[in-house]
Amino acid sequence: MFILSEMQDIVAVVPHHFKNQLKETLHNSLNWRFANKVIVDLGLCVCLYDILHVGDMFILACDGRGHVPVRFRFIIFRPFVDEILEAKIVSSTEAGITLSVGFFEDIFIPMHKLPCPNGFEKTEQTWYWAYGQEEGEPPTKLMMEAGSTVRFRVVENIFKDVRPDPNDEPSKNEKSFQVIGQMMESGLGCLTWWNNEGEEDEEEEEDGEEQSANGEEDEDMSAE
Amino acid sequence: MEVINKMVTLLPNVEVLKIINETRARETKKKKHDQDSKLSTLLFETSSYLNQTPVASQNEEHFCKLVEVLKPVKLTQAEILQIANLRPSSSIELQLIIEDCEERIKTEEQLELKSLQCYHRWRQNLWTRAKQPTDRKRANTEYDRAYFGFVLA
Repeated sequence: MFILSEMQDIVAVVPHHFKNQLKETLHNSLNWRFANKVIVDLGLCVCLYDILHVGDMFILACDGRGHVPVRFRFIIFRPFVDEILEAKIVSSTEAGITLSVGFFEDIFIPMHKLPCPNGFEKTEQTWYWAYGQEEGEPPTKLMMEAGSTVRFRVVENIFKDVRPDPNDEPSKNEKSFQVIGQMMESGLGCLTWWNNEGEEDEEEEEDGEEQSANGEEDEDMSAE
Repeated sequence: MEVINKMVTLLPNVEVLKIINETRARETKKKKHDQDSKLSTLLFETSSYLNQTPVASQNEEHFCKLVEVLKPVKLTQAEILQIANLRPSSSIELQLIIEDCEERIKTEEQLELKSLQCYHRWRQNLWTRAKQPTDRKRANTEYDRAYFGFVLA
């Protein structure tokens, strides 16, 4: 899910920070500059891992700030292709389902990559998996409701170089980093669909234990 | 800004959570006007997500030992990472993570991987019996400790 990337940048230190520890200032500056930003073809920057090398500070003409070349490593969110991840469903449309991991909300499962056979409930705006039972019986509709946690496999990371133009409305909605996934294999989809296998056995065991516990309680009552 | 090495290494979620907690601690020590709200929000969201995964009760020792235990099974770095991050508890999940699982992993090795899963049953018991949310959180932590405690033993 996360990778480590080595980068180099020149950090400008303002004069009123000269009295502070340089590493602390660089740490704050780098986190302020990169955190929560998407670097095209790299991923979403989360936070600074460590500083590898600090160069000599130089001063430019007509600028009171000190400039420091720094080599550092940053934690980047970029799931690799074929990775299995768990995320929550945010919304569903006819085009597909949008998932979120809290800090990143542009994970999209297109409709043709949902478990087959499937359908879209227009009234509830949710997708469902028509899980075929034995022959003759109608398939059960396993709904993929908003807020439920699902498991999916990453298919592709799409990067787009979005031009920063505040006047252009459509470009505001464009996503610079989007993760495309699929839920077609067995084991993928809502976690509750696949956890039930173990739970059925557990329920039988638990009922047995509850009965024995109740039996003990009755004995205690009669003793008193 | 220049990217020197796009991918130095894959990071396990354990490591990321540790760094995030350290950075958050550093941020809270600063004065309010010096704190970066965007960074704080991002770190909060990321740590909330990671704390809901099995990573919440792991530490680096667990991860290193897991790598050692899985050495004879000959998995790729990505597969070991996913096992640590997701803590698969059924053969279906293992087959999703490990490519060509049935061909690559012999019966004995599969049994070893499955014994990691057997703690899932113990966990399910604790989970269903615990009715309070605090009990469930404790049940989860106990399970994770056992899962990785098995690895450490």
